[in-house]
Amino acid sequence: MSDTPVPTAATERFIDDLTAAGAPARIDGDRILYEVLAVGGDLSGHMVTTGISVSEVQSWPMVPPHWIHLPASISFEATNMDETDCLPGWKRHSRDFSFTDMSMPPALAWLRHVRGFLSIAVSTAA
Amino acid sequence: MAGEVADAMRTHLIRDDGQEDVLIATYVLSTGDERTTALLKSVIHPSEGERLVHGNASFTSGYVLRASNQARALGHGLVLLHSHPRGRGWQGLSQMDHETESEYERVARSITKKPLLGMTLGGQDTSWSARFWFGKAAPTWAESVRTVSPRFAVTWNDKIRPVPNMTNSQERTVSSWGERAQGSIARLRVLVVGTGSVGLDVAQRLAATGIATVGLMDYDAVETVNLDRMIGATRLDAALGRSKTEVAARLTRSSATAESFDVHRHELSITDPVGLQAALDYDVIFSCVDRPWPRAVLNAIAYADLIPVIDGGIALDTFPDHRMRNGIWRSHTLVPGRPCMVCLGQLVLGDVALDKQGLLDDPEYIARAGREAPSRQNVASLSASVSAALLAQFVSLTAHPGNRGVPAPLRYVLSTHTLKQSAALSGVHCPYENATANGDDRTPVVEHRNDWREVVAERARRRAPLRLRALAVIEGSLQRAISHLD
Repeated sequence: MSDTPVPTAATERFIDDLTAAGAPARIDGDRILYEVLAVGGDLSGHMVTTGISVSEVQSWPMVPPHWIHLPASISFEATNMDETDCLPGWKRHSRDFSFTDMSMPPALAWLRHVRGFLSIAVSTAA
Repeated sequence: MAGEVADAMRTHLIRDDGQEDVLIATYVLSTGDERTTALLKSVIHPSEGERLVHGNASFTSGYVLRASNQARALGHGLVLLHSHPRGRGWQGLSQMDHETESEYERVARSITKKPLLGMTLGGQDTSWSARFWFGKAAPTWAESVRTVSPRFAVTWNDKIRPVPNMTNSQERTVSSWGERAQGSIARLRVLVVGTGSVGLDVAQRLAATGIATVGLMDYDAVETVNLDRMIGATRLDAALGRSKTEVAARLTRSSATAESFDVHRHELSITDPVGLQAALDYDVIFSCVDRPWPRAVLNAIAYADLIPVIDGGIALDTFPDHRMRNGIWRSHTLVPGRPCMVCLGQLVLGDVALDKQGLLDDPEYIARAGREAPSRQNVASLSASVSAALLAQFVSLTAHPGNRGVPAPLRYVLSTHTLKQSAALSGVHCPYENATANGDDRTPVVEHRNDWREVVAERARRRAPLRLRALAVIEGSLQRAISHLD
């Protein structure tokens, strides 16, 4: 028997939307993980595994998530961060998401936001 | 129904040759505390030979079966429509129409698992009437049919919600837009969410206009710091820590001109499922809240549940030495055919997640994030401009001055005293507008929370000093005496 909870419609939609936007996503416990190609900064050219809490996408796409989960080896000069819902050795980071442009799919806007955040990362492992 | 759906159905049902016609559509439900609304979703036009037009039009069983299966695949219910080209106002059912709908009731229910909805279009004044069939014998008539677009139109079932009697104190109001408009506007159930400075003013003016049913939603209490903006709230209200809805209900009752006036207090949060369900009983909603999460919920209701939401607000800007630099107030009505708050740039979706997590109230988080703390400036002299702007939207939405509906979103710039219309358009990927008429299939933006419940419970437990309670008794007696004056 498996005790893995059945994903809600909102969780499934987030995964589908992110996958359609070019970042195949998967559930990992309380998180959704996906890969993002960093396009600027110290991590430029690296494929970075990124996550978010499942609890944060329960109103997707009406309300986007906020916290970006990253391996602890990736850090930032100034950010709110903690370890809520994170895998061991990971941290979640806060970054304002000024999302009002409805001419692009919400999942694409989210990926661009994450890429923008990664471009200011300071990596000790890249 | 959305105006676009109504237009498509009217175009089919009103024929150039003056004969009746029939049509099938689908619906989903939007369920409030006391009211259930059927939201029309899609129109299924007849194929060649699927309906007969012969003076009195009729459906073929093939058309009804095809449409029922299509509705079931979508998870929708079935709507059978027909027209009365010479009809005006709410339409009854002829014996033949009754038999037709009664016969198809079981077919529709067995296939879609939902009750059949019957609708009639009166061709002379584009009036719609509707009834649910929960069994074969007789329909359950609807109270009203609402068509939602920049021009909000309601056809009332006068037997269920009669035209209120005009009163002497409404003479000048009625002379401004006529008895017909007054008879419709007065029957609207209007909800004001947020009864602070703007909401309190709006509620009183709605009551003075003759609206017979006003709802007030807020879970906060009046505090001394509110008294410079909540016109009519007293020092006693603040000293007793009375709920804002209690104060607003008292002032709204004293302003009411309707012969019979109902004010409903909802000490609830609109961000909670119970708040949402209460809101779904109303025909028009005023959004007088400024936080991102409640505004997101109201933005969703406007489209998913087809309840027009009139929204606005004020932003005051100061120089570093605290002199006033500028002020901007905005007003806009959220309906299909006008952009939503997000498309307007008036709701940043990223802030909704922060508000839900309480981070916008966390000074440490705000400081580390490099955000500016929320602006607290407000001036009673200017908040009246916001309520005036919102109420003007309401008049355009419901009375259609100049035969027009609500304008494009408006922005008033105080420093130059200029009024500007926004050119913002709806985004093709807007999740709010793309959820139009989703009703109970909506993506939930609300969440059960205990924080606001604790605020309400704590207020109920608190016992005021004897001196204040004595004053409250005297105040109540005076108000009751005054309310009995002619």
